Amino acid sequence: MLNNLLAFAVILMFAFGIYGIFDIKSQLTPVVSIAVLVDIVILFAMKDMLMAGVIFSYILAAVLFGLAVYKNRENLAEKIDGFLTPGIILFVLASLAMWALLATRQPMMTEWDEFSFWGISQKLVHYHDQLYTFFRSSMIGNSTPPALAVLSYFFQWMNAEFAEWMSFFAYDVMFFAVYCSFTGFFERKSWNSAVMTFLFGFLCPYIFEVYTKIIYLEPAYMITYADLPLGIMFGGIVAVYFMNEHNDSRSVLCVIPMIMMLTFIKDMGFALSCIAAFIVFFDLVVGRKEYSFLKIKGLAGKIVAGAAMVATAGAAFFGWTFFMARVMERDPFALGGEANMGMVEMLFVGLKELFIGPRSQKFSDIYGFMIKALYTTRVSFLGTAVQIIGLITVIFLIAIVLGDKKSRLRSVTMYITSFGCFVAYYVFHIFLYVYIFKHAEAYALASYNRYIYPYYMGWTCFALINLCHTIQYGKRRLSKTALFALTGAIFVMFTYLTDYPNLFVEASERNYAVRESVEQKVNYMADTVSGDDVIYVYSGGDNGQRWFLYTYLMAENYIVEDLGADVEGRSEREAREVYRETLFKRFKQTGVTHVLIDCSSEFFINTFGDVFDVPMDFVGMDSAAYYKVIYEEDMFRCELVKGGYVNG
Amino acid sequence: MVKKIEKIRSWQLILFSALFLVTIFIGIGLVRWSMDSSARKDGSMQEFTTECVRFQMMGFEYMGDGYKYVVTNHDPQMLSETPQAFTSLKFYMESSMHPGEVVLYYSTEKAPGYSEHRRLWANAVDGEPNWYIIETPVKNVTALRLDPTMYIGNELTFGDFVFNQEKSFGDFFEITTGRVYELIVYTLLISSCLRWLQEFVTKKFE
Repeated sequence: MLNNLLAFAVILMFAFGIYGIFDIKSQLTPVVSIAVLVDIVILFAMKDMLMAGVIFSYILAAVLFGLAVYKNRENLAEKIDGFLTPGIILFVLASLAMWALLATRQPMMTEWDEFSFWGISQKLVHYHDQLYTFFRSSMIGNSTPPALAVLSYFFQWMNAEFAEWMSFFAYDVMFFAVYCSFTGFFERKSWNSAVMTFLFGFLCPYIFEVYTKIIYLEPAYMITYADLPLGIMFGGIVAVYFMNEHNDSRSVLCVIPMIMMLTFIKDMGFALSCIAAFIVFFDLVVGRKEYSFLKIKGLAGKIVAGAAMVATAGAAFFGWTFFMARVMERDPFALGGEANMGMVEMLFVGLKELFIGPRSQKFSDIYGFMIKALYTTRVSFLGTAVQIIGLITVIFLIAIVLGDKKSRLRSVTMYITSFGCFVAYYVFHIFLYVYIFKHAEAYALASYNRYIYPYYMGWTCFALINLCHTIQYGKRRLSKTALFALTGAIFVMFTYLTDYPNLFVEASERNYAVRESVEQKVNYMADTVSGDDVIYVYSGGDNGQRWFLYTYLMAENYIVEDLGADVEGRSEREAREVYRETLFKRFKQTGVTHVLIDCSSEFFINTFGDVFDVPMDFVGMDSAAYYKVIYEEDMFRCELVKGGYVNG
Repeated sequence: MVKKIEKIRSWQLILFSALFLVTIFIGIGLVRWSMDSSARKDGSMQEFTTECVRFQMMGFEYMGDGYKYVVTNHDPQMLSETPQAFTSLKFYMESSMHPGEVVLYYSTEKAPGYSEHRRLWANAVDGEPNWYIIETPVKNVTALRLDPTMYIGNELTFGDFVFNQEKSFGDFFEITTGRVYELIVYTLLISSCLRWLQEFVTKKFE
């Protein structure tokens, strides 16, 4: 637990360092610090020096802190006083309160993909002290960039055991750092505006994750998915640029590490990074007259700044791609999926089909669904995309109408650019559904909300940032009242729709029913399972959730994927033969040494019953069995190692 | 008057908001305590201990051996349709497997039927294995429905069901995480709004 606080202190030290040395607004420094530190660790980790990277980053923070203190030794008290803006105080307060809560409740992961990737990757990285690309595991999707796993490692690498709530804490600190940056215009005398802005940020995840009065856990601040980090970081980038009023390199240089981190969060982060760079560039052109980047003045400087941002995103994205190609021997450009296309190819084919035609049936169907989804699918407790875009438009309008002449132009520009980018982002997702997703998933627009809302979230933040700018420079009385009314209204809706037992506030063990039933079985077998066992898990009637839970809970073992075979149109007897052959081949191929029966089924008994020395018919919800696999010429046998009731 | 308002410092606003909230919390505790004790006094709510046979059990098969049952249906339910004032239920249940979610639905005169919005969760009692507890401020309910497990084949052995156990005075003022959350968030919210009012009255927006 001390590791959490140490990491938090490291971030604060680094933040004070850049505040004291480069004179950056203190509210912007926490999120920039997190980005710089995580980026450094990622670069070390790609050279397989993860732990060294963390140690280096800790030392770097201490050195920077020391330098800042030394530089300001004459007026240190004054400097520290200047550092403690309302934003920083809220950031520290929120983080420590969240830490205290998480440390007492110790919530666990609950969502599907945490066990298939987001959570298990962090657990594996923790135990191996290496990125997941360097070792074999039963985890799927190890091509995903590593920022979040590194962030979570940064907060608990000294601990022997991996703790899930510490991952949540790491995420929350990052979120709060971004909300802190939203308050960048507010000094101590405007502390109440800072509170409202921070609160708006805090509510932002709920706006897009709660659709109706909730009855189950809404894990927004206790989840390791990448969607919130994407959306919030995306908003944070524009905030850090916008609030930073130095008309020189500093305003863009602060953003560059954040762009790098956003790209390292998930593949889609690359698209969002480019969009953020695009929006920042146009604001540079319109909003900053006397601007110079790296001493280059005028438009040239702005172009160089823009190019630097895009280049960073590109370098991070392709750097990771080539790194994977080298370490894991993969084709760097294959996106995979239905049509097995490369990314550039997908863009070209997609644009051609969109604007010139002819459109395939799938294309026109998906296109129709996606357009319809804009006004039929709820993406927020405020309603569909139409309502959200309406809200964003209203906030921008308030900012524009009440703003002074200069901020008016900037707000109009940002509204136009962010709207245009939204269209592009949306069209890009149409392509993804058409070309990458399998038929059934594409037609169901699988995970539509999760893919789209990061943009809405960032976009809402852009609107908020412009409103704050107007409060600072425009008609303050009205715009400040608008901020209060807006945050107040959203807070009231949020309070009405959510109940503490369903939020992080009183989260308790009751949310972990399925998980605990699997955990009970894993504990029952713990004394017979060794780390080298390669295990085939069979769970009758499972939709995949239990299987993923096994891979997560037995992360040091290699767990073989469930059986799948094409038996369409075959008779029952033929199908049985196909299944048996497929499984035997798979076992030999992957080197399965053990079979774990979580729950037997009629199908499994009929197909494989004869290979088990002790029948596994008895295995149900309250029991489990573990068998050793012995290979024979054309089939295998299973000898019981341990089996029985798991509860006493 | 305006001068006086102008002189109020921000920390005073924050302190005032926090104290105001604490007063409200104590008030809520007092109201709940008085409702609880008056319901006990006039006899509409009593502490009593009973067994599972008080419930109408659906989706169970009796296995003998005291109160041992096996679950035969995906949604096993234990119904009790006696109107009463209700505040808590503590019960003993051994389960052959992890029971999953243990929940209690209640219906009231105004809102008959069972809904997910009128659902209470059971928590395991610390230090007393196999005991579960469900608590709520006093409610006049017309029916209760306990769903003790989620799984077919689960073998349950029931013991005592204790309704409306007496609470001490202090129990009504328990500091939950919800209260702490409210204290932090609402203090900030209320004091920010008061500060806005102050700015509004003095016409000086910062």
